[in-house]
Amino acid sequence: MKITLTDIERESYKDSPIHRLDGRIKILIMLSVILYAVNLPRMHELNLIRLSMIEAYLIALIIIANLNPVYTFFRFIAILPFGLGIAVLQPFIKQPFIESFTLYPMSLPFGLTMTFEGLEFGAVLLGKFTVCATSIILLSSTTQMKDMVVSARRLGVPKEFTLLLTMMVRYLFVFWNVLKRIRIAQKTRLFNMWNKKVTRKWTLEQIGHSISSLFIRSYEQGERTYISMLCRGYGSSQQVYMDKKALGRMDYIFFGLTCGAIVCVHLFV
Amino acid sequence: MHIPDGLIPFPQYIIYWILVLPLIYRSFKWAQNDMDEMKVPMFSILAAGIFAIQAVNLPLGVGASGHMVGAVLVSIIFASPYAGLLLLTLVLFVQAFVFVDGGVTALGANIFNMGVVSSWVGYYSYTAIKERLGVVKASFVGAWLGLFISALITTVEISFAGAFPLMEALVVMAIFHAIIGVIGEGLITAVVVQSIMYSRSDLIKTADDKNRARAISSKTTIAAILLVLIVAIAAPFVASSDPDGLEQTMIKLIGGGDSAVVEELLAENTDVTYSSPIADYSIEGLGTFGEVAAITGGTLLLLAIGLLVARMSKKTPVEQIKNAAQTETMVVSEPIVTENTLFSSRSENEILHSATNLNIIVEAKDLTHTYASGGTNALKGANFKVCKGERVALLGANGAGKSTLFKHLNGILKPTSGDILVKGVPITKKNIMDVRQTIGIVFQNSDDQIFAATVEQDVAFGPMNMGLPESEVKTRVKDALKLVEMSGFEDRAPHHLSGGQKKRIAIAGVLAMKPEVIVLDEPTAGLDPSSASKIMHLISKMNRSFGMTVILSTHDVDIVPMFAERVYVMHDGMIEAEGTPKEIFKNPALIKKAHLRLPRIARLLELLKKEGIDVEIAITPDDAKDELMRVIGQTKRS
Repeated sequence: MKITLTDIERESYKDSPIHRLDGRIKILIMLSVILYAVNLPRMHELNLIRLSMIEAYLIALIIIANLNPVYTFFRFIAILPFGLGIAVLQPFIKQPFIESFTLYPMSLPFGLTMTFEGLEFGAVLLGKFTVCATSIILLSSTTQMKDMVVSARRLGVPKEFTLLLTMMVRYLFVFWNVLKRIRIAQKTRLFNMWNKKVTRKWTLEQIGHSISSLFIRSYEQGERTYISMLCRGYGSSQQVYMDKKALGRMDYIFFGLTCGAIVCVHLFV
Repeated sequence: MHIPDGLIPFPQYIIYWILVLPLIYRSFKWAQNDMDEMKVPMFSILAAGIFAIQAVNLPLGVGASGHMVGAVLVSIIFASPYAGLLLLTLVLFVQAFVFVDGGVTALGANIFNMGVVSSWVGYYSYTAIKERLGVVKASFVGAWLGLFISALITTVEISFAGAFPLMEALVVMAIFHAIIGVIGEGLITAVVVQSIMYSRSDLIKTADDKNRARAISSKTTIAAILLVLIVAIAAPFVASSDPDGLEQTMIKLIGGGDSAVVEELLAENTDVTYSSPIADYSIEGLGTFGEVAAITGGTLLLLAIGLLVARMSKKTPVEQIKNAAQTETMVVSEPIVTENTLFSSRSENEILHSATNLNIIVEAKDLTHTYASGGTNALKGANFKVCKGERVALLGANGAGKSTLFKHLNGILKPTSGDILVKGVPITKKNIMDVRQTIGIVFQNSDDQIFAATVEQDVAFGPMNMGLPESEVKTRVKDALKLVEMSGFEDRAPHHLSGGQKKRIAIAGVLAMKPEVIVLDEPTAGLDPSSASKIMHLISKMNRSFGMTVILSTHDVDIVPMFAERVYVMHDGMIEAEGTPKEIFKNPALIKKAHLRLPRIARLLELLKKEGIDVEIAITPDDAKDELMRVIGQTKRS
């Protein structure tokens, strides 16, 4: 199963207490969880327990948000390889910041050695990756992209930058659909990446053409959009329309809950 | 390589943010001053396009990352690495927050590695060698070097965090990225640049002019490269005393000025034997190969730094660039073909015969399809049957499910339930290629279909995929272009074609595959009357002269009676009715339900009838003429 933009969009349009939270609160919740996880010391005996408590809290939020479990799982799997690769490597590496190593009593081929310290460091890394990834998955699956940008603006990100992000989100879906249509049209004419009847060079050239046509199309779309913006009086000093929105009671409760959870995990575990 | 959250210590993340934020700010300033203050929003759309490009790239599976193709490419086109940085900043932001690709705190690091390093290294190596190697080859080298250096720097950063052993990782990464850099970044960027040179050469030309205005003299560049090479290669030889000079310096640095420690370290090193030509660079357990790889990586790094220094040391004023964008206009005068001479219905008998004929070429049985995303366009049990050699029209409002039905006919979509039979056989994985060869689809938006740099390449796309020999492909392309009356346009960029011409090229692309059935999704939508009638003429010719079965969808009710032998009316995912055009248009309730209307000519006759004139409703101009003549004759006689 491949997770696409469409899947993420579908999940973010659901309705649940988490979906209804203000975008600002969700971004702050995500940031505080990530900052806590990232700042845990590299080696500490309580690291893993703390990380799993936080992860359990995030999973509870995911359940409340009524996200499709299969979707959540596959999104997680899709992003894991690089982190997992690094974590798996750790037991076999002598990390420079660890002073003494205890060898794992097991003989390995190629003169490799495994250490308890490396194993622990690897586990902590994996734990940190997991917690951080889960919190971003939670944010992106419960907040529509346009709301994320508006919330970023409300949190003080400069308007020049959020304007760019807004437009990018808008056209992301346009080009996503263009891409899908190009793919279908190519499939109809028997195109296949691994077609043995044609040379690899030719296949590569075709991919190059598809990319450049998408590129030129986005460039020209940019030109057209820019012209139509000018027609409606776009200028450098324009104000981005944004209504003020107060935070609700649930927003404060959830933010308090998350901060409380982090503090509890740190102080009482 | 996106760095995730939690991999490197928090202060290190902060350092990247401090490094990157002023650069992002400067890239905004650059965009406002250099491009034109207001053109900045274009970047966000370009970034969205790059994002989609990344998805094209994914199935390559060799680690090519589209966003880096974008970085060097955009830097080349806008003649500044700031363009690459601005674009990558946007792309990486969305990647981090939506796709969890790379961490949030690690965003600064990722922007630094992929936006700053690859843009600067890629762009400046491109400009340095462009004059000598030409744009395409230079973009290859630039993109490759950008990826290579960026990967090495990322490796060093992760090693700082203690998660990689530096030297071993560097060697592995250097070899790995040297290879995927060639296949992925280098080739893809070069091919894209080549393709852009063909279709929008003005983009690269403008950038070129800008470059020329800023370019540092080639002498300086060569001198810088030579200097770096000499230092990189010669230094180890010169320093090869016991222990060598570089190593002494290192030891002094490590010892931190403490003479006792330095003495001790120096003493420790006296027993090292220098068998390697590369001084004391021996990396344990790697052998000569590893050492050479490591030193090459180092040299390249130095080379890049040298180029950067050389660039910065010389600045020439930027000339005012005139935008040399050429717009090619083409005026093709075509005689307007009158429609009524084109199509004549076969006799009713013939149609009855063909409808009961066993020679059914494609058939849909109780077809249902629900899109995962829900919404309209779903199919709710459609039955559809087309015989060999028929001309069939599928009528229906927007969102009735016409395109969805079509995409089932050659296995692009799989039915949720029900069957598709092509020549009586269901579509399986085994025969899907044959099915797609049998049934060609021309899509509504020609731009989705035409993607190659030239007309010829695009028409050759299908035949090439079929594995035909080159001579055969050439003949087919020639024949197909001749058939659609577009001979002589072979080398034209699709970009410069009019809507009608694009449509004909799209049809040629399918015709070149010699399908038995050609399916056209709204072939006349968005075309002017003359172009539309040319397309209809062409379609009719394919049917008459080549016996091709034609299925088309439309909501142009005026065309249907003149073209189709049989009509299916579709509404809300179901086939509402089937019959000859006459039968269909006799049924006002059906017409209303399917959001259609009577042909204009029939409406005219209907109005006359209401006035009390005794006319039969006819739906084609020819029949209407006969009917009116009859009535006029009667009136004269009386």
